[in-house]
Amino acid sequence: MQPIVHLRKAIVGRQSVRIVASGFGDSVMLDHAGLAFYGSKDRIVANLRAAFEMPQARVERLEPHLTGHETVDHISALVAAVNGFTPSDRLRQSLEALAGRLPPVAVKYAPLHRMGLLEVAPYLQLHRESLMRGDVRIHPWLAQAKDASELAGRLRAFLLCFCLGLIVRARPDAGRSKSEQQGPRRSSVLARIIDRIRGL
Amino acid sequence: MAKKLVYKLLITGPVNSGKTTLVSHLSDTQVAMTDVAATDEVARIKAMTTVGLDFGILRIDEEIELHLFGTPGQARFNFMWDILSKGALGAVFLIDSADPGSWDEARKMYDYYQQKVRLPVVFGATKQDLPQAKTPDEIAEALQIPADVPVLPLDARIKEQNKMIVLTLLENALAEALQQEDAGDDLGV
Repeated sequence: MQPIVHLRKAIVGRQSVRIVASGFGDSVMLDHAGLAFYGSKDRIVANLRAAFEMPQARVERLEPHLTGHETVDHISALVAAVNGFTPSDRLRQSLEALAGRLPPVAVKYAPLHRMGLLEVAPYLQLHRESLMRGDVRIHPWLAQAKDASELAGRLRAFLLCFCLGLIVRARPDAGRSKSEQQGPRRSSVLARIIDRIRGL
Repeated sequence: MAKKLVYKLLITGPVNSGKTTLVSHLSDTQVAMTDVAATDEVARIKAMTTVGLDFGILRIDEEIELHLFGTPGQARFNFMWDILSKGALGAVFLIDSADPGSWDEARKMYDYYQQKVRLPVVFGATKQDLPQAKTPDEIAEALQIPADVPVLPLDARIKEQNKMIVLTLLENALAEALQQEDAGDDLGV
């Protein structure tokens, strides 16, 4: 599970890092900088799939002289990695446990079908629920899958959205804080505007 | 009385794409419109067109107002972006799905927006019910809209759909704001 959390932090923070995922006597490296991974697409996709399944990870500073020049943007790489990916039972349990720890979330919209995502329906369903209700809880949404196939699709959508940062904490404090001496935070303003429009 | 904090939402797109209707649906005040009789090639499309701004206000609470600006639908008014974008949260670009002739104008407007403004943006592909309408994906390809910019079908006559497209824009902006504020650790994992 550590590699997935580190992937999300690297992608959302646009960090220049090397993530070394390890476990079961093996390890893989993912070099990330800005909006891309370094390496060939085939290699990155294989390493991402392996990293998803590994329990441990450490993060190192990325040494530019150790990377090649070939890069793949992180959205294309992750979309390719989840297309047709079947999570193991161990990964399924880890993702369900992670989902259980998450607060209510909002799901950001991105036109992932235009970036090559083959299975768009679970993601769009998650996004729509978030948009209509203001937030969504991932764990019950996973539990509502009718069969193993549907659950696998929902796990892929969750994995992709989590790593890409499309899932965010749903409700920042929409009320005004006394500590906001310089005016409300942008997130607080946006949350209040969203609530108002939803109620129109 | 405390001074209100004013934020802006920009609604733009070529002539006859539904901007005035969207501003009306989201405003809780009388919308100020600057429509005049069209005199140029626009007159072939509709009798009245916006030459200044459509302007509406949505009162959020006692502290915040959202000002909605529907901008003129011609690229020659692009200079107005420089003024309007100050304090703006983002923009909704409306595209007439059934009028490819207007897309060149839309492309010029979007090019200017990308270069000068760079706020969150979402595209609404209107008039999807017309037989000659192109799909959102076809429009995205024709206008070379970047793959990470949403292009969604929209019936601008329906208030609920106008709400949804604006909510999509604002939810995306909120997600980005949260991630910047929390440095990617917003979920506490």
